[in-house]
Amino acid sequence: MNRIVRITSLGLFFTSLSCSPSSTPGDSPSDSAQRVIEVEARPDRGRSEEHNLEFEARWNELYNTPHDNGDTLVIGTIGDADSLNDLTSAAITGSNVIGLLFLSLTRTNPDFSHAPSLAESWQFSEDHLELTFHLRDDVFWHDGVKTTAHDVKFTFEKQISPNIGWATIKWKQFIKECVVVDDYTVKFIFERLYPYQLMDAVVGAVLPKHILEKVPDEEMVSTDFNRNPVGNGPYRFKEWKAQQYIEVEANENYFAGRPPLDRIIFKVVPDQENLALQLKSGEIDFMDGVPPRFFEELARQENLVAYIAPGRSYSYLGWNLLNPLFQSKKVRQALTMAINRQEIIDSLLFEFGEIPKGPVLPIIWAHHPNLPDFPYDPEKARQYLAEEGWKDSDGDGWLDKDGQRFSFTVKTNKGNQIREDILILVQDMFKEVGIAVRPNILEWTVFIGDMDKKDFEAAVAGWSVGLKMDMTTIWHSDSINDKFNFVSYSNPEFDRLNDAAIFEMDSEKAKQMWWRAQEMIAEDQPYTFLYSPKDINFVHRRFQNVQMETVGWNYNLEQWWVPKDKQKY
Amino acid sequence: MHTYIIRRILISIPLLFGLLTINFFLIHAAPGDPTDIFYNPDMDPEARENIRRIYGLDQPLGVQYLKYIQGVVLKFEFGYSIAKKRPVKDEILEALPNTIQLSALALLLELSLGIGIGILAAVKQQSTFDNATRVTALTFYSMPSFYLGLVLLFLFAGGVSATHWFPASGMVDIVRHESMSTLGRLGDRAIHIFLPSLTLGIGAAAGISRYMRGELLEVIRQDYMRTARAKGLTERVVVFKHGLRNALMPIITIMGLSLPFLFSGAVIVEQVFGWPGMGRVAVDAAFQRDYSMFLAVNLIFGAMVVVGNLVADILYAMVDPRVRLS
Amino acid sequence: MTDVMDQTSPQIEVRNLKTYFYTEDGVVRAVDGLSYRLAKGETLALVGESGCGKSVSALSVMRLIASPGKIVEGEILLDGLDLLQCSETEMREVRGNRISMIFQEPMTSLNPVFTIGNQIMEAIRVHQDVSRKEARDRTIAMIRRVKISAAETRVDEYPHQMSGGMRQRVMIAMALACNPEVLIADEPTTALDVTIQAQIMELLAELQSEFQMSILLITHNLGLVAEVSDQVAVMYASKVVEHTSTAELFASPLHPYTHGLLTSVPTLGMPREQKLNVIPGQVPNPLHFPTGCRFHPRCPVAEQRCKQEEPLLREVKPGHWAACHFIENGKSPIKGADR
Ligand SMILES: Nc1ncnc2c1ncn2[C@@H]1O[C@H](COP(=O)(O)OP(=O)(O)OP(=O)(O)O)[C@@H](O)[C@H]1O
Ligand code: SF4
Ligand SMILES: [Mg+2]
Repeated sequence: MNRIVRITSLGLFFTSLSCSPSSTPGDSPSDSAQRVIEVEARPDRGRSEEHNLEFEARWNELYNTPHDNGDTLVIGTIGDADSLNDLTSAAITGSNVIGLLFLSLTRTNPDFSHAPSLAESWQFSEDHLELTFHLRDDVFWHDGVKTTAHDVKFTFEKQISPNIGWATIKWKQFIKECVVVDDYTVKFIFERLYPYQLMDAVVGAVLPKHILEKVPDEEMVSTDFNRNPVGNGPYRFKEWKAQQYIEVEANENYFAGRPPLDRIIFKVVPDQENLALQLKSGEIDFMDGVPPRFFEELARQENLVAYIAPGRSYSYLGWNLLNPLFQSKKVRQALTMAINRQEIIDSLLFEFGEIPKGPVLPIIWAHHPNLPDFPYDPEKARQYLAEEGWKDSDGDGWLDKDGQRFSFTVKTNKGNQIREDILILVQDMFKEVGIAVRPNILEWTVFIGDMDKKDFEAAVAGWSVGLKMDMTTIWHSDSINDKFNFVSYSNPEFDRLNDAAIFEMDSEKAKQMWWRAQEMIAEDQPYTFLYSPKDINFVHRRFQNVQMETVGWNYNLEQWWVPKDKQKY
Repeated sequence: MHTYIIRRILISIPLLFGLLTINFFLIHAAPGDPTDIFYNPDMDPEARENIRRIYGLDQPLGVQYLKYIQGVVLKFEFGYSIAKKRPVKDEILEALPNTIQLSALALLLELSLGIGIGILAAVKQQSTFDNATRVTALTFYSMPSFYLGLVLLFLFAGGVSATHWFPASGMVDIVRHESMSTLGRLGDRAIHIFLPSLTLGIGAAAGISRYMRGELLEVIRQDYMRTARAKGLTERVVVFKHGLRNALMPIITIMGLSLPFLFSGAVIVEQVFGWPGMGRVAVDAAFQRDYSMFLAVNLIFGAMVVVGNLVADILYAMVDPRVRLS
Repeated sequence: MTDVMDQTSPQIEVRNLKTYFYTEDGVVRAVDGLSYRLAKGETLALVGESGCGKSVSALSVMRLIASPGKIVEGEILLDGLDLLQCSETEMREVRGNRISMIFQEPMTSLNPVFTIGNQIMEAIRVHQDVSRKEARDRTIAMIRRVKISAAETRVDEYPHQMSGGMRQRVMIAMALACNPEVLIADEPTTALDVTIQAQIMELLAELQSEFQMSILLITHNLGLVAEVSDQVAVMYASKVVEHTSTAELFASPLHPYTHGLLTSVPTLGMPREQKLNVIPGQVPNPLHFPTGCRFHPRCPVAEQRCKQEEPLLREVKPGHWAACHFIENGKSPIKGADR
């Protein structure tokens, strides 16, 4: 389980050493040279139904290792939460807080496999259509009531209620029923067999039936519980001041023992400049998603440690395939070759990013490592375009065909500086090969409205990558109209592969199918895949046992601690 | 006077009502809708539809409008915020006092600095002080407040560690505030509100100082000032009693008209300094197409304009006996 | 020259006063060697064309000349006390207390935002250590004294609630509130209509005998001069050119300028509002006064000497001072000037 950590003293990654600082829990960078830690991408085992004993052992070790209690962690966040009730929360801050307040049936391991949490163990029936969870009997809601199988069943029923509007209702679509076997045993019955049954069963925080059963479904969106949640997790809710902060405090009665930090405060600071400043001055202790432009300055701070995690999102330049300009595969490949993506990453992301060759990122188990690529080559791009009939016949510097100039508009949304800058960069790059591009920056809601209506020629946007391997909503021809296949990619062979792969229980076979599907997309280039940014996190160095993982910076947040002599608050 | 105020308020009701109606149809006509904030491939279109139904967004616009107006008129209810998952009223009641606090202090700074500097500049016309404040005022007046905010942040809130005198955001030290003494808490609040209110107030203060200087110079030339001097009054009494009150009258009008600008300035300043006020609620509501919130926020801004004008008129009548409220 | 002007000691005497304005265009010699005397209980009229320096000289006496103006030379003796040597604090004791002033424009000379009572009381309280109540009582009495009816209610009114004549009465009440020795009235009636003018002048005359004060009356109005003043000083181009008793002046004006003024006024019964300044020629520019006798460009009897040599103000006749080279044996150089 030795983990490679690349370490640098200052600035970008110019030195790299091998060591194993995270081999024992509670170990945190102590050497002052260790300021930048690259989080390792783990092999994705999200489809696995087995425990990963290695990770579990490591997790449990903290509770048996001596550590100090006390101190407060202040987390800077750009947006406020909307609700602390998992059924109604949509904002990311809310889900981070919910993660501390509530337990789910399982916890996610660094490799996306499942570890015991509220459920101590689970097993499938012979036909793999029934999944039984055995719950702990020592978990209490923060008001003293015990958490039982009835809460699990209640939560499931609320999650699938059409009158509540739970965001991830789709994940429960193949679960027929949730049955209470006894107070500490609960069973999910599936309609069909598929690879992500375990993941679908456990998704969502378990909620207290005794409180929420009094709330009619229609009133769930506005119930007081959203702002005064009663959970059962390591931290209990203390206070929420709108647009200011959310404060949680250690749960003395947590089943695994009291978490070390007295308090964790999510401080809302709506401006990134300001957040970075507070990180530097010590007003906040942690920030994730730090814009790359702040990296160098922050990395210079003695008391901060940077964690660089592999990207879980990518940005792309999508071509509207309904537009005659982009209907030729060769033209699309040429367009990709006209773009110097490395330059975009170097200049706009300060090198904190990678060029994705397809829509499945390396952190996903089905990632295809050797996809066809169309690296920057303006010469070849021009040649491809010429082969498709696009030539500068009138010598004005712009390509044309049948008297029509090769020109189009690229839309993107306001508020994302990198995307706005990209439009400027690609405009120049396309000019190189004789293509005229007009940038058009729109307000977010207007932008997605246009995308929905297919009212665009090309657009810069991004996707963050979910845990489940499923390409339907973005690439399937069924998703052209009311879902997320904006570019109207339609490939019957791809559809067939995708539909089969989703339900293929044999991992190896599934992998082969997904690889083939990725090859098709890479070959067809309905998108030019621009970059996948790395996630930059900074944390104050007094915190020990900080283990950031691809599953999230907060993987073991409840285990962070500060030695007595270094405690600040 | 009471009847005057009541009448003015009554007159403004249909005005605000019209504003509400226009805004209602405008925001609904704007592209996008509140469920856009749930826009991601993990969210099934079905879930989005559920949410639309729960909030009644699937009903015809006319029905939505009638329901909304009914709530406002009969129950003084402003609906539920889709983005904040709570009654609009709750969110506003939490944010409005903070903005009022910030704006009030900014106004105080604006007036005290603006009037004070304006007086000194007028009294010491053409002095180094006068010239220095002229240049400074022009600088602050023309500087966008978000830029000024960032500069102040950088200089005094952590960018330069030697002059890290103020916190960079928020209303209180969220970690330590609880455990402070009453005096400590007051100080804590003071250092938190200082930079944002300064940023918000200083541009207007710069404007006011130039106005004030001009007005006072104008007033100093008036015959009644000579009369006052001829009585044997000290220059201080002449300027501060006889001059100031006359010079202040146009300032009151400017101030009344500038109240809405103070509020819109707060939108930017609150963003830069993380001040939890109406400005941020307004920005979120507009971007998230949070209809009910947007309408309520605009109603409040509209009411601010009405109140600002009313207050200016009342103040004006208080200083200028020639003006009768009727 | 001045020591022979009067036998009795004057209430106020101005000697060789020079008040200049240092403007961007140059030095405006608004008052340039002005001298006059005003005896106790008497009225001295200061007459002259517009811009000749009457108001500036009056404000100089109050030492109310503001930048860019400056009193550069001279003496102003108030009962022997040289006001130009007083500190600002001492001067404040004089203003409104020993010397008061009322101005031409009653409409703008009162502060619009304070009640008249407030403004009169202020004058009392700044010089006398009296209670608010007493100051108010005295204010009401004063208002009554200037013949404003319903003084008790009027005291709380604002200037805009009153007519011009009323306001000028208020100004007078304010000026006389501390029983001054000298009252400077700078064209007190110019802005008022004829009947009101008469009432105000009557009132002033009445109060003058009651308070035993000296009045410096600045006016354009020769009719008024003839009616109310004891002595007249005629100003031309920032200086006094003739100074004598009113009767003497009207009977035998000796200076050609005065003569010009009077011939443009055929009878004493002329309409009061008729202005001076009907002498042919240009009013001299205080930035560039003519050399020699400043009147010479307009003087019908000017000679070469007048262009080079400035005539001094001298007693050309007992009790009659004038500044002209050609007054000899108490005779004007202009034929038929004596009547
Ligand atoms: N503040 C000032 N700056 C420059 N020049 C001034 C100023 N005040 C007065 N003067 C000049 O001084 C001269 C005398 O002015 P003053 O007001 O004393 O005239 P006046 O005899 O009172 O005239 P009027 O009969 O019109 O009142 C004028 O030429 C005027 O332009
Ligand atoms: S001195 Fe000469 S110019 Fe002057 S008034 Fe006498 S005669 Fe006329
Ligand atoms: Mg005058």
